[in-house]
Amino acid sequence: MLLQYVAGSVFAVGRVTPNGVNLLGTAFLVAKNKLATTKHVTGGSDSNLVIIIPKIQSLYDYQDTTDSKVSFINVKISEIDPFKDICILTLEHKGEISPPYVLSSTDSIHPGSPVVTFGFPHADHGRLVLTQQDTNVGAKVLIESSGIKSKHIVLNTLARPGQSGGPVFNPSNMSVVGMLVGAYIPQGGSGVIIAGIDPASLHQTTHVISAEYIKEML
Amino acid sequence: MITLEEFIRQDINWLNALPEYQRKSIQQLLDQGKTYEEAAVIWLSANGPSNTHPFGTQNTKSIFFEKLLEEVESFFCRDDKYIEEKKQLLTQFKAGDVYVLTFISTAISPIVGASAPLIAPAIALILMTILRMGLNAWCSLRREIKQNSTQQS
Repeated sequence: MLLQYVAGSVFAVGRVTPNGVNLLGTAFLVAKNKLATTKHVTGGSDSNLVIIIPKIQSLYDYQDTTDSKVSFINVKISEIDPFKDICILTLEHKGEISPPYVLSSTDSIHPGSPVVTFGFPHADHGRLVLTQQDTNVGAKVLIESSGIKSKHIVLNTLARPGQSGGPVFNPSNMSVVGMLVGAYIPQGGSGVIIAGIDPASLHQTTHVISAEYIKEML
Repeated sequence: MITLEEFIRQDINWLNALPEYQRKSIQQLLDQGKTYEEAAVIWLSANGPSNTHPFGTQNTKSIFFEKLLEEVESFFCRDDKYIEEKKQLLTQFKAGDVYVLTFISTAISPIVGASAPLIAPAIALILMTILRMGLNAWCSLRREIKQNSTQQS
């Protein structure tokens, strides 16, 4: 599979409200009619939860930032792990779609390895632009949640709201090694919010959880 | 037909009704010495890895354990709540522990505003507490806690 065709497998997640669809983050195909995103993107609730149907066939196409009309498919939460921040969504439609790639693990890459991530940065402002970021692995880390440790990698890139739930590819074999979950922040954050942004999250230490945990949930 | 009390008295390890990835995490909490209730609170309030700023656009907080506890209490201790669901459950209880846990979680999930897969482990942990105490004792304790909190406020 060529990277530009990932456009058909990576989706924006949203929630239908009386005022339209609120964009929440990113999700990607992980099995037949199943997608992965983060638990925090969904808030643990699948009430009116949807994925937006992409308008482009390939990342080489122009994405019209003035076109605010969207079509969507309803999704339900079928599996959830709040410690690892992973949520599996099931599509509620009759067709069948499967990912054109496999899931692997962060075990297969190392600091310095090139990786490619996809997501919808600035979705908090309603921007619906599938964006590719090429970067490198900075570190392999274990991060705990309530004493439960899990494997992560650090990406040397700045991520923004809307990118949570985005897949991270190893371009050498086009496997998904992990899913973007957020950025390092010191305990409690900086305590200062400027224009909705915590300055302590503005850096190039982005956390990605290993895709092996997604596989365990399928 | 089996009664609700007979149903809850069955010697079932409700944690076995969970998918393996959830059971493993819950078991790790119990191995740390957490009680069933403490493990349920931690499960519901967990929001991913520590020291990580989430990049969803809303980053909603988890549901409160007390809200879920109240609904489980309504389900098992009150005759005027979940009437149809309980009838259905008691006729189909032989369908297995996974079915029963999914059924209860699905019935309660819209009321607490969370998906059934998220609250299922917490409900399994509450059921383990009820199993240990007995249904009548657990319902009495819940009534007592509520009365005390009403008198204090």
